[in-house]
Amino acid sequence: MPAPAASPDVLAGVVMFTDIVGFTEFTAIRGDGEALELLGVQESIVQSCLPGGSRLIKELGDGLLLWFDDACAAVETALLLQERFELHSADSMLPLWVRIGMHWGRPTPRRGDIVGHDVNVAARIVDVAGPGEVVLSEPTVAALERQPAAVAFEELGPVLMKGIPDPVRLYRASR
Amino acid sequence: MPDPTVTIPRGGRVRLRINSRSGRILVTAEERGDIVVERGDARVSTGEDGQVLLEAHGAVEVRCPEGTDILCGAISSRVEVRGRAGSVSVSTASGHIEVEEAFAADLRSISGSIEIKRCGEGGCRMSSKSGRLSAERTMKAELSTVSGRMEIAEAAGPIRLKTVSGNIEARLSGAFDASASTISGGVTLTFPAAVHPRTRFRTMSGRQRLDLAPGQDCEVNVSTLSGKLEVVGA
Repeated sequence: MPAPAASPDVLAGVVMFTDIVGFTEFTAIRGDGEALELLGVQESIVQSCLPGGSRLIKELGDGLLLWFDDACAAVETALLLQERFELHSADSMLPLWVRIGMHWGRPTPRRGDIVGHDVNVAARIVDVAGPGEVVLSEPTVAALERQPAAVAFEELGPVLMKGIPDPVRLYRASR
Repeated sequence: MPDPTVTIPRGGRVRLRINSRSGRILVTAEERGDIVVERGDARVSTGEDGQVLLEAHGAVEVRCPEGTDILCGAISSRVEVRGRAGSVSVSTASGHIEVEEAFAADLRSISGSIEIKRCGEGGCRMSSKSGRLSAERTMKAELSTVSGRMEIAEAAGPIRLKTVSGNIEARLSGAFDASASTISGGVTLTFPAAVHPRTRFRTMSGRQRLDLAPGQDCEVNVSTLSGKLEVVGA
């Protein structure tokens, strides 16, 4: 189902959160210098994968908030990011164990940031994902205008999340 | 109040969705042709493709046909699936999850522990932040935690295990590929003594031990920053 058009003061698209699993423990063991190196590697991989119509909105400690105009581009980018993170982790002792959650919605822009219920839902979805996983909401799947190449969606069921009144049907995307 | 019994159409796909924020959820998959809510306050409806939606308030007990796919979302509920189910997906924030037998399982909890006795060819995926994960017998498996420990008593398929500070103990029943990674937790993988794996250890400061003769039977990758790594024979 194509995404409905946005009104002038809201955006319509995909809100994506990422989170590095174990970052606190890594920092405690390896120190701030290597932790900064890990964040630098993450940022560099993310910047190299972002397509047109997307942007890094802000860093949240070891996590990122990203925005995508297009749901298909969001899913493909998330899976590409996981492949690159996995590749990097396999070749180094910097464990980029990243979980990714996303939700299609209509957040409100605010001073370069985005706010609103859909941002809160996306933030809760990332909590459901495990390291290396991409988890997305049903509205994100519904907003896909084409099937991303070689991507499988596995339903995780109705997920109840703290602070979100209704259950959200979630899917796990994988290649 | 709607009739809490749903008769399943012959040959129909049985998929049960349950939402309940709190209270114990017990689903028993057994030889029968209908879905019955035995106990609890629940609204039952049939949806597209023969799916049955059950919205419960508080504790609920349900009986369904063997092989039913079960999708369950909860917050603090303890979720138990007894009997032989199809694909089981459960997510809770703090509740404990216990599954007796499933064809496939995707079980997630933030702080609750997760336990599965037998998981079939569809494979088993379990994830918890601080809860303990355990599987008695599974085919392929993918487990992750932050601080919770994980145990697989018998894996008859490839496994991928990841934890930040929990400990990993897994026993494989044959020459299956295995990957186990931690930041600070320890790893012990046990293979039959006749298996000769190609093993790769990666560690910054952890101890490592391999007491199987090297070979090409399967790929074993174990890594940690500071935990101990062991790949041993039974």
